[in-house]
Amino acid sequence: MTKSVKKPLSNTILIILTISVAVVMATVTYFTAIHQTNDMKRDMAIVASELASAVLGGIEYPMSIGDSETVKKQLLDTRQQMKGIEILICDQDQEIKYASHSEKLNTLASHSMYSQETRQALSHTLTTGTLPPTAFEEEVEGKKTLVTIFPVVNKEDCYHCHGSSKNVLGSIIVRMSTERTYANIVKLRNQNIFVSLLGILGIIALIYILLTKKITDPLSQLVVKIRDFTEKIPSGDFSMRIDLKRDDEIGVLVSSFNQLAEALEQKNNAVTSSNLKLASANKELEAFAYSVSHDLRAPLRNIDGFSKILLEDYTALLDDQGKHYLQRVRNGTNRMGNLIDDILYFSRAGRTELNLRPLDCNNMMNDVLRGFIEVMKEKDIEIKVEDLPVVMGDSTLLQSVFNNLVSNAIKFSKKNERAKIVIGYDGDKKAVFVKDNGIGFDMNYHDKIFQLFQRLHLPEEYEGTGLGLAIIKRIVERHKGSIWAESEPGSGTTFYVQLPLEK
Amino acid sequence: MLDKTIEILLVEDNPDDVELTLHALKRNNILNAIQVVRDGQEALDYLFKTGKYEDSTHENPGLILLDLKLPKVDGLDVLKKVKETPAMKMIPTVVLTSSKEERDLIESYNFGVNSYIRKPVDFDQFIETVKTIGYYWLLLNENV
Repeated sequence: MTKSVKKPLSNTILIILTISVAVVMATVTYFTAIHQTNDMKRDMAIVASELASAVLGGIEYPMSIGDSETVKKQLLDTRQQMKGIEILICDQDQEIKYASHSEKLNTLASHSMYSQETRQALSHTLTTGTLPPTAFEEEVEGKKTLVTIFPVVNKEDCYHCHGSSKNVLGSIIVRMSTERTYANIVKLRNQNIFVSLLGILGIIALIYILLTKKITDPLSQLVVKIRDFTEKIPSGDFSMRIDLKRDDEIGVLVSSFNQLAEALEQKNNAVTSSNLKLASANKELEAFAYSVSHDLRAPLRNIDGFSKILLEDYTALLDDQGKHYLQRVRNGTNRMGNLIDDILYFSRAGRTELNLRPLDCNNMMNDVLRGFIEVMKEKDIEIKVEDLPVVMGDSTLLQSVFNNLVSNAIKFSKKNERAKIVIGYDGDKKAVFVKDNGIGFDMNYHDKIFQLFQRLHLPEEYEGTGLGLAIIKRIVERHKGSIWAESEPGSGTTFYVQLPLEK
Repeated sequence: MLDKTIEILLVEDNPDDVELTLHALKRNNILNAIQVVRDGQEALDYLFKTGKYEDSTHENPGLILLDLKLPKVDGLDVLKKVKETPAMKMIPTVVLTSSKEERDLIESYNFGVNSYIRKPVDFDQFIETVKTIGYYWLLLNENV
């Protein structure tokens, strides 16, 4: 049976593709957003720094002439001009002297700082006059701001008020709202995601189409063709080849498959031709057997016939020795006749067609035993037949199997003990058995007794051609069954015949 | 007693078999006239009065004992001819041969043989067989 494709390769490819692209996309978007945020921060810090310089430039002159009102006004103006910006100017003691927001005036600058880090940076700048390395992010009333701290360094212009001893006069603190900037970043990021999503979908579609066109489609074609091929095999048709020329792995697969099909076809042809040869050999064998049965028996009959005539009609001319020899000639011809019959039967048992049908072994055994009534009476043999199964078999052939086994059981009974034969069915061994209490045999010879012309006894002890067990083994094996024996010298033999039971 | 007017045609190529069969007939007191022919062609010539029997005036035999493996014309062909010929198909024909190959048996019965008997190797049994054939076809059976 051929299977249909339950989980198409293209689906798997699509899933893997989507997952991996999604992971890459998420990573790229995440890092882009971080990068953009940092960029924005840097830009804003630059803006803040420029603003601080501008503010400083703007207040330098009014301050140098002591016009603090103008400074205040200028800063307040800044608040109106630039929304979201807070500028604080403090002295070295952090007291806010000027501010864009008048409410902050005269408060401590550290109170307008919302993190430890910024406060420390302010102190540091006021002490050293150096610019902190970065701007600081702070959240004020839930809104994000960026704080930049600049030193106001003492200069000649300032000496007349502040004297020349101080290095740093104060600090300009610029706080800018970053809410809008962040909103921009988010907007930009969403745009990015949308655009890349579109692009990625496009790429996935492209890759998917290419993959299916280049790999899964040819593979599916291949699958269909191979399925067709295997479906044709039972009818002995190996002639199909796959016509798909490609330079890639699939091409290699196709050519390997074609080579395989070629090899199979050649093997099949070889088998067919040797089958034909076998059939013709079988015919020859049959013709041979036919001739044997005709031509070998005729001279035997003549030898026996003329010996008999000599014995009867010329008895006065022969002494006892002469008669004895003639009798031996006749015995020989009879044995030869039996041998020819058995050889022919052996050959026929291997050739004739089996006529299989359900056979009740009980009936068959009764028929067989009927033929032995006389001899069993004469030899006073006790026989017991248990219930036997129904098997599938050829009645003529199986009858000769049981006939042979019973005949052997009688033949090899002990001379000084009442023979007892039990016939039954062994459920464990699933075999019909014929058990005797006869002379038995050495199990070392077990395999030998089933071979052609193999005998364990001298002809004058027990007659026989040495073919009986070989014939029944052949018959049983043609029924796809098996036959074996269990024996012990002096205790008897049990033959087991295992045959296919009727279903 | 046996009907001694019935002539027996023995078709047998093997001279030893001819002699033994005649011996067996004699031993069984079957003293009918016996015509022996040695091959299938001679059997047909005798039956259809052709060839060397062209001028013969003999009657049809009352019993044919036919071997199957014969020179020139096979025993089965002789049987077929006899059973196809209206004037002869009533003649009891007994195949008496060495083999009992299934195809020979089936063919013989297909052509309408009256008996098919395999010659036993044992001469005592052969004598018994000839006795049975003779008594059956010459005594018990009512011929046309």
